[in-house]
Amino acid sequence: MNDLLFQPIHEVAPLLRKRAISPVELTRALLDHIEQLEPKLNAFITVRAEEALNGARTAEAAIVRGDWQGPLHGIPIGIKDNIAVNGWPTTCASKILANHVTTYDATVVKRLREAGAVIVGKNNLHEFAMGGTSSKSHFGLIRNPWNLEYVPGGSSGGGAASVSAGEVFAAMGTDGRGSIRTPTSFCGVVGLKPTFGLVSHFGEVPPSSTWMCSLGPICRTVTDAALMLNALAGHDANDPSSARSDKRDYTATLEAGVKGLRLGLVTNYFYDDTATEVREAVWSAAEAFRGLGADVREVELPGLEHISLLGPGLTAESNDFLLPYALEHGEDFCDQNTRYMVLAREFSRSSDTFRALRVANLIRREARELMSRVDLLITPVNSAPAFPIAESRGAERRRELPESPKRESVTGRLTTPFNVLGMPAISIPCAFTAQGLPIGLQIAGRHFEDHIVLQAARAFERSVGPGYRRPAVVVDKNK
Amino acid sequence: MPISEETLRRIVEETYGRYLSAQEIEQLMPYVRRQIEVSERLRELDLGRGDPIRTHYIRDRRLVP
Repeated sequence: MNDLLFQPIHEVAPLLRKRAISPVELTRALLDHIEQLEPKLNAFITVRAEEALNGARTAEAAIVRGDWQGPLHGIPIGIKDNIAVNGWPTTCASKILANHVTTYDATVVKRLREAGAVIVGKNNLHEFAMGGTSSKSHFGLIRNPWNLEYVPGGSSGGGAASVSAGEVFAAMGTDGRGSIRTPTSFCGVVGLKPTFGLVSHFGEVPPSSTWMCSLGPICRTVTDAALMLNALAGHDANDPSSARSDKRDYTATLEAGVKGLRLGLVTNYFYDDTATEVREAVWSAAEAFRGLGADVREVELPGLEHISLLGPGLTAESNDFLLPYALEHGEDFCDQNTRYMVLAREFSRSSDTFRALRVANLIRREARELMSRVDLLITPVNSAPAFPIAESRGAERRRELPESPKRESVTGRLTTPFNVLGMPAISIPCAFTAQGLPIGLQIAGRHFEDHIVLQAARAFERSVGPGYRRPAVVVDKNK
Repeated sequence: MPISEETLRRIVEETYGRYLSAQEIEQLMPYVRRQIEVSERLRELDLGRGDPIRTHYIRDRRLVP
């Protein structure tokens, strides 16, 4: 049974369907595995064993009576602890919200339940989902399963670490500046930020209808991400930013390959401060795509140079939510960097917000023109692989660049463009460093062409990429 | 017009003095300075005038498949 915990959903689902394994046995084995690993990883804030087992019993009863709901039926899943689950705490990894119990299911949770998934627990995260390391949580920092002294990335660090380490088959994350793609890149799994508007925001805490954040799946394979998106995508009247898109089967074109697709290798911005190993991995991936029949071209998005100025346009909503806490519960912020950023943002002017939106529109116009010439863009996810927890300061690891007065961060900088643009973007395992740490590849596509992003990611995964590997924390345990 | 350091500190103290200690204000100042820098850089960018045809803030085209 233990080996099954590391299999992708698309391989476990048929076994559940034909009753070769039972959802209850699977969930029980998984809960044991969580109990063993959690002292090392700390990827969960809440685990509800009895409720998970009850969910598994319900799933099993349905299968027995021939009422199979689909590939997620009986599959144990984790939910990031800034997404509402009815009757469970939703803490955002903050002391301030430690006793905040939500009384409704987020739409994504509702849809996963309708698909038969078993909700096991709430994943730990970087406090208030505002940081790229997951080293700042009221419930303790999260560790990277590939090296326990390294950060797992953030803010959905718990989801990525738990999927990587076999604690759950998939997890739900949120991604406002790379919070799904960064940790999945650092932990060697797959993370999809869907097109803005495709997956409902309803039940995300802080409440968000911003044009930046998307909810999406964290999985071990691209096929699993497509299966999750099948359950998650669709209009939701509870979310004013939810799009009325047609229902589609995201697995339908997964095996179609990349022959004839035009891939843009973005050569500006993404390599300003990028580690050689990461650059080489992405450029090798571009060559591999050429080998698979794609038309790979070097392209540029000059407007990205201004992206660091977008803060005033990006943060108004979350700032409004967090300001009272920053003023009245300041000492309760685990990450004081977040608190001071919130306080300082109050000194931006209304004209800053609109100037920032105009800059964003400028970048969008450039991107729209570029995406008329190519089908997809490929870039690194982060400018370096995971780094030691000891080197993380505040929300991000920042480095002084000797040749430039700019302070750049390893996380967030290369993922934020696709939040600003609202484009679908995926992080998939691309290579491993000499130290044995995963490197992620980012593939982005046109709005509502998530299926083409998945198709290219699957082509890479099937033919070139390392795919999912069991991380060191699990391999060492089994020695 | 750039705000002097002295004025900026006074504004911060008057805004948050009731909630923050002197030490916390000291820690906050670099973040505020960074915020002001962003304002200045945004102002320096040649974005042209706010031509309505180019400002689709409300009607978000990404939401139309």
